[in-house]
Amino acid sequence: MIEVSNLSRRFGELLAVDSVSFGVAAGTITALVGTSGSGKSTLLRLVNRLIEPTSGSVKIDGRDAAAVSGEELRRGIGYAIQGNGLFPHWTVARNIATVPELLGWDKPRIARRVEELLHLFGLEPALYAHKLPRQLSGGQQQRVGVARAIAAEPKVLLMDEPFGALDPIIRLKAQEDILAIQRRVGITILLVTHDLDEAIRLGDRIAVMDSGRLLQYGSPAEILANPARGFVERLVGGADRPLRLLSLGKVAELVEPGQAAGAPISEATSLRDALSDLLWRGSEALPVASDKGAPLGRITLPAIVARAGRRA
Amino acid sequence: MNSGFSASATRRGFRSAAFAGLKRGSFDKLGVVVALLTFAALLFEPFVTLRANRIVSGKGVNVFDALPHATAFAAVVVIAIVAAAAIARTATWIRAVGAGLALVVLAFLVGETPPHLIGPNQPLARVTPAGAFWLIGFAFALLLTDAIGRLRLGPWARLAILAVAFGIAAAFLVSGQWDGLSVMKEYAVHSDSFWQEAASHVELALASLGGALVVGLPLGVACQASPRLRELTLPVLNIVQTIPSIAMYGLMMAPLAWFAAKVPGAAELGIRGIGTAPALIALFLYSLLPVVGNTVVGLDSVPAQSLEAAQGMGMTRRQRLLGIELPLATPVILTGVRIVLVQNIGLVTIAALIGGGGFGVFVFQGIGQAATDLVLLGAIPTIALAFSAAVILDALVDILKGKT
Repeated sequence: MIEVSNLSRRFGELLAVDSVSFGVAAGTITALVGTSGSGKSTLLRLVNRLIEPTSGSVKIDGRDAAAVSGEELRRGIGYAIQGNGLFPHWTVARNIATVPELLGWDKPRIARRVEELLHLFGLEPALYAHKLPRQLSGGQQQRVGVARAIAAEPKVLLMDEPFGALDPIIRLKAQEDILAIQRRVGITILLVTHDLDEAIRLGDRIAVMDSGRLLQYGSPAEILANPARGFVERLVGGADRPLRLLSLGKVAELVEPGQAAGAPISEATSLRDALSDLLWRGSEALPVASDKGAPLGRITLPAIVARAGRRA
Repeated sequence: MNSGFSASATRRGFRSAAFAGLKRGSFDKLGVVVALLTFAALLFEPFVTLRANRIVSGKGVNVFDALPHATAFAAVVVIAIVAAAAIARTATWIRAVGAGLALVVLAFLVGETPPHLIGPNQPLARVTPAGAFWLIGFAFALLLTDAIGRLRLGPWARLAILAVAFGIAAAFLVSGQWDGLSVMKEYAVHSDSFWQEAASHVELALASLGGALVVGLPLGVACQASPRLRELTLPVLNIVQTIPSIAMYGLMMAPLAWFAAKVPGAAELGIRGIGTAPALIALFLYSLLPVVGNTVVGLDSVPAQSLEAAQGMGMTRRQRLLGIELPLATPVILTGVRIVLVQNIGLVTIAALIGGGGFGVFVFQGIGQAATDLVLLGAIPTIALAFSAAVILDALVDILKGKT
């Protein structure tokens, strides 16, 4: 869906993005990870031409991004940023309607779309449509910001640290929401974050950047198990690595036949959470149930430990 | 860090304790000042001045001699009650209503003095409000504005109060209650030119503001976008602002006279070294700094994230400016407009010196003739205009801020 080839951007002496190439498949989430100054935000802005590339090209849905004007290109791409950037003097409904209005949709169609989005993001239209952004909580503002970004049904959504301004508990909820909505709408997301755990939680693929270069591009499991030497290794190689690895797996993968005492846990639980649960309860094994509650077997502490250490 | 916090906490505790002590026991400070001022004025200052004709100096008459005894007594009682209410810690709205009432009583009383003091065989005699009237008026106006400020009224309520004040003044004027006063006698003589000068006063103030908006808004937008232009423009406008108004009018005269003489058609358009043209240009130059400066500050205050989002969603430069930046900057820009309008209403008065017209005509004629009454005929409407402009624009700023 997004095809980046040999993309570079120079600011004076500084090569902010250094001939980066990668592709993002339709309907997936790719997380760009790196420290500040790594060039990840510049790369994101090169995709929707908020910054023009020095060399290289971007293709979106097979079309060269440079073929149309910057404004026209950006109206076809969703854009959500840290701190949401809502217009403080416009109501929630008008904020969400921004791009549809720029595209000249007729009024009834815009009204229908706004209502649909408010429902999708769990904001009752009668209650929220006519409020001003400052009358909403931080989490609600963030949801309106994302709703606005996908209002004109773009195929691609760019997000720059979209959860950066939220406190940890709301951030987790917002991340789950965006995953659920992404699955429902099937949009392609390119997301910038400095938080590796966020990248692992959200990304189908992770692209690690440093000093303007793309160091490694792969699935979270690949990045964790076989990090490239140097920066990526240091980034993923901290004390949390076994736990991060476990967070990628589900209980279903390690179910074994047998019995165990205690309340059952769901097969969809991540292995990391299952480990946490086992340690907290002080048991060696727990019963596993399906989503509907049917008993499937049990999961044991040694199995999880073996899995965490397997590739380490 | 820790000790600093506890020290400030102690100070706050001390202050609130002192405040509570005041509230429980003693007096309102402003009320004491108002009451002292009122009684000192009643006792030691003349209420009106009586003169044989408009230019000789007259003699002061105190409130008990200026009015029939019963009226004077009733008036002093009303004023004393309001002053007493001001001293005690009464509810704020009572203070506001009381102060308003006292001002109306004062305005009514001063109109009662001429028939009492001037006999039928003294057609040239003049009665002018004097020290006690102005001091008491000042004291209660202070009490009123303080109370209104403390009530934290919304913009619409403040506009309503202004309208009521104008209604009351209009009622006094139309009913003829003030007709015996010297200012109104000057008005009777100058009634034709009064409205003409009023119109040219307002025209000059508004036209120079209009010109400053037409030039200053785009200039402000350009300055905000380009730091270099900003560095060039704002210091120049700052210097313009420091030129005294009389000097500015003087500076305009020579180039404009030359322009009128050399450029064909200029003189026919009314451009001359004196008159409306130099006044308008000088006022326009004074207006530029507040308009440009506030436009820059207003645009600077627009959240950067909103702008980035606007750009990221494909808004053009023009759509961002008109849809996002200017609407968000409007309250700050209007604050600049308020400064300009109040400043210009005052400065137009000086423009009369170079034949620019306006209420200043009466002020300078009055000074020339040593006729204070004529000075007042020019000064009072100027003050009323400037005050109303301030109240109306303040309210407008609040109304717009409420929407963002």
